[in-house]
Amino acid sequence: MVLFYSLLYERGARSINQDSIALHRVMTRSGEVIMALICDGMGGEDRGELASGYLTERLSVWFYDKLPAVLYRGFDRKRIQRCLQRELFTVHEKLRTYGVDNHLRCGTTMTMLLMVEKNYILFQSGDSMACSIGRDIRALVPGHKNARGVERCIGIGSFKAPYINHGSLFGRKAFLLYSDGFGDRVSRDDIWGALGGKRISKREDADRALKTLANAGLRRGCRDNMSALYLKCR
Amino acid sequence: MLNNNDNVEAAGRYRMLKKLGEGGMGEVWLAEHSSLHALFAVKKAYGEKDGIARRCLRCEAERMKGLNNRHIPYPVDILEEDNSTLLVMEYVEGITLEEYIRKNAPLDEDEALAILRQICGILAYLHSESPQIVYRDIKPSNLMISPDGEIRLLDFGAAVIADGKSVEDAFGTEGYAAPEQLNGGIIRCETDVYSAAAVFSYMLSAADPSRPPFHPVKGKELGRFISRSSIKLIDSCLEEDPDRRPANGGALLELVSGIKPGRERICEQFKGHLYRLFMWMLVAAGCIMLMLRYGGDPRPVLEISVIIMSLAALVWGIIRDEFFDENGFILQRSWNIMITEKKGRGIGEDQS
Repeated sequence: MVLFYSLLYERGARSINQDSIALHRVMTRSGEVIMALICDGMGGEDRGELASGYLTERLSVWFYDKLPAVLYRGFDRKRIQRCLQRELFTVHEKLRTYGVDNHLRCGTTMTMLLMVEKNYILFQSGDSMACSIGRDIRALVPGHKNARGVERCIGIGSFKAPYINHGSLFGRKAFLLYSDGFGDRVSRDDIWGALGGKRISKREDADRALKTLANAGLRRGCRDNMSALYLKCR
Repeated sequence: MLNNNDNVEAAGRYRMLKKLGEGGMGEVWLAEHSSLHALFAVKKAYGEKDGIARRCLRCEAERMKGLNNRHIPYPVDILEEDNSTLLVMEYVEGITLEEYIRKNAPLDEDEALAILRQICGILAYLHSESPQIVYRDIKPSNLMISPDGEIRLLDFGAAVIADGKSVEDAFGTEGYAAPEQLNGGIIRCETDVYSAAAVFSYMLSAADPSRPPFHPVKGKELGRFISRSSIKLIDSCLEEDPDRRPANGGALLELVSGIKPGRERICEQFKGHLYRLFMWMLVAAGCIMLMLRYGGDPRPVLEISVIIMSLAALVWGIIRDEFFDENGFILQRSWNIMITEKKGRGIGEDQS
């Protein structure tokens, strides 16, 4: 299903990287299952990495411990969604309580791509983005950002269910998940220029392209952390 | 922290050459004896003279001094300075087992068994001491592998005496520590048995137990190329209930020594071929019998065969759905990447 992956994890001008990344793949009795996740911590002060790291950790454990129980009777998108939302709600409450107790705003955005057999489901809360790269580049999720800030943030305010997009892997050549730090200074055209077409045939190409994009972002004055996860499909 | 002078000369007789590592309690340096020109590893703990780090280092030296096993580095000296305590030990050349596994995992079953046998030998020695010593922190980063493949156990900072009564505070490395260890239960020799099996599982599966989902790989997930005895051994050593695990390092060593993966694989393959041959012979005999009954006409035989095969597929589907639970659903893990700058596991009260 996925040929190779490439990761970018850049601190940028900050002293600590508040983003967290997870990528897991398991072979099951019914085929390959992959989870790719990018969380962008938004503690605002110095604890953003706590929220993003905690969510990443919980969702990684969810992937190994709870998802198999949902999948082993066959692919059922609704059941997967319900199961994940329960987990997200628990994490949200945990982070919110921790924030209240410690006088912190402890929240994180999340973009998660789940690939099961020949299907994909995308869950998104906040302004981390995801796009598919094939014959052209397409955004798969909207950015939940308005004048008041980021919407649908895990751990801050009341819980809002994540935005969900799903589809078939057929015809999709690659996926790119990235945090807002990466997307702010790098346009979709830049991404297409570096990762589009038939330019990427092996992991080293993807590593180089992501590094080039990150350097472009830094040159354009990006001060935020930059994280990206590229998955090349068969 | 050390200043430049410390780097050149420390504690009179030992010249610090380079820092080998750093932990929660202090640092480990490579040092040279100024007159013997021999190399030693020096563990340094900083803080108040009666501070916890320095006290722990003195306890570690105390525990190590009575041990005499070539797989355990011997203590040479303990030195007290104004702001630090130094434990001088034998220097062990090589790389940690963690580095080795990362580079070579998944290891071949024979190689993994050879390493486990050495770990069991060390545990058997510690558990046979009087009073018994429980190491409590068996994990690949605490094991060194020398260029000739010999395993050495480092860092006795966590080791305790097993008196069968004491309830220790939660201590250990997530994924390698036995459940009773993390829940603050009674520490026994079985605790080390669990951790050794977790290391064995890591060597065979390449799935690090200290990463999500924070438990070692068991049973079918280990893959079909592992012998049944090894799978059985891992499953029994990773039991939640310590009473169901092998009692100590010696018992584990006995079990490990009995595993002959090569011979077992050949037997299983032979059995498999024999079974398939038997099944084909059965099918052929059935077909011949049916053909004889219908006077040599093959059509009814084909019809009956199709019906039987459809029924068999249906029954197999029902059996698979009803009797195989999700525990055997995952066959193999790969990638298992998690990058974060958050320290430790959990948040708030759950943090470890």
